[in-house]
Amino acid sequence: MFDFQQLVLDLREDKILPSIPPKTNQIELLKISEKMLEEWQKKKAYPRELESPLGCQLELTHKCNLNCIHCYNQSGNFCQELSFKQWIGIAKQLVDMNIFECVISGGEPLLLKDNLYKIMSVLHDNGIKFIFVTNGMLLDENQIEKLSKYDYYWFQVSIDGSKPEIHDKIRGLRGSWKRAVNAAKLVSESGLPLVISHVIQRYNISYLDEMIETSYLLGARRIITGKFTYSGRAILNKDKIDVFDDELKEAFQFLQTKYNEYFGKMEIITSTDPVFYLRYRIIEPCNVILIRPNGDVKLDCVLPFKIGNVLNENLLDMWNRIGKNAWRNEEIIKYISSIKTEKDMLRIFPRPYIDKDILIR
Amino acid sequence: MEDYVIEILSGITPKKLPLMKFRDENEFLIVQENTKKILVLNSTAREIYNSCDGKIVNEIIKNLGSLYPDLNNKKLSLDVLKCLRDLEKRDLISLRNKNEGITCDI
Repeated sequence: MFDFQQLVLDLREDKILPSIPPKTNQIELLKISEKMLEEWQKKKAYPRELESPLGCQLELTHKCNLNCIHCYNQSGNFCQELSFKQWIGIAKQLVDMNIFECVISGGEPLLLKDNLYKIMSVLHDNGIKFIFVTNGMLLDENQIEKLSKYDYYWFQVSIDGSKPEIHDKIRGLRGSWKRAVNAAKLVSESGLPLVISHVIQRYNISYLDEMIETSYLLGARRIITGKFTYSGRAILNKDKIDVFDDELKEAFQFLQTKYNEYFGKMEIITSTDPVFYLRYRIIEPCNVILIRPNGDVKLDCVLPFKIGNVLNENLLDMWNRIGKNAWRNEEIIKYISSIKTEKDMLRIFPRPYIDKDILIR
Repeated sequence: MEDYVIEILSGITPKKLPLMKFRDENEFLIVQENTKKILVLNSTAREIYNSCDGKIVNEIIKNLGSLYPDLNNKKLSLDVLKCLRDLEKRDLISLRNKNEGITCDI
């Protein structure tokens, strides 16, 4: 049993990062959401649990052609990976589970070359829509043509600086900014729904204005921005990249102004702060899963918990055994309860994408 | 703004999209967007919109530069690009590389 109200009360409002848009009192939002969901579920207007997930994130590879200072999952480090044949098998299982959407990510998914399109085709041919996440390094007209046949909620290119010297420093490779900017231009020019992802940190926090303008000129429909998450390489490099709370507050106020300025032209969205996000996830029925390059199945890309591995168990069996109610698992609740501010993620054990994930049963 | 961003966008050919209805009124162009809103383009925006007749962005910037010779070239390029994106967001032009635009003689 867990006391959701207590979980909400544990949060002190001044400890929660400001959120735009809309400027919402996040605690109130949590309380209202829980109440509403409870009422709907009582009236049987909303499910308590789902027969299968609605969406799935596929981290198709751990390999990456960049070495970003803040990478949440430490892409690029050695990791045992599933074979192409095994990924095709997973795609077929997801089709059988009748999921709606798939996040294609990595590492860098375009490193899979033509195998990527074979996996995406299995999903696409069965009506699954994508969110595609790339650093843009390998994106050229040939790849865009192949990718254009699929349906997307959005197509995300990561640009972490308005200037090459900022982006290249953050991403660990000279010339990567030019590639990312070119990729973004190709995406919007081809009519795919371009979203720019921009992770705020010490090196780029002073250049938000220029970054937003650059995104608009490149034809982005949306820029998603927010401070890096204390996870993976961002934890290891936190002393280099961390920003002060005051700086961040100022940045968010600035983003609010820009949100109004660009209203109707380009969405400016801030990523949800993880403390709020984790509490929110407990309320709603579990609806997504994430599959790591080695086949581990997780609930999301924040929690250091796994529910199994595709090599040992069929996805639907795993979902029915534990997945569909996993966010209410005692160990997970206890873990989330101990994160009262974002910085607790630095002290807690296990730390996401640093320590070994815990298998919940 | 980095010059490189302007540089890679300057080769795009903006194309007019079909208008539901429009009216020329003195220096203004009043158009009905596909979203059914009425939009008034001022003389500069109108000039830019009318230049979307097969010219690439760079040519549009040069044309406008001849009308406003005192303007700093980088500032002019940025303003033109922003205006083109604004027109795109209102479904008046397309900045895509596929053949979506049509020839419009206004």
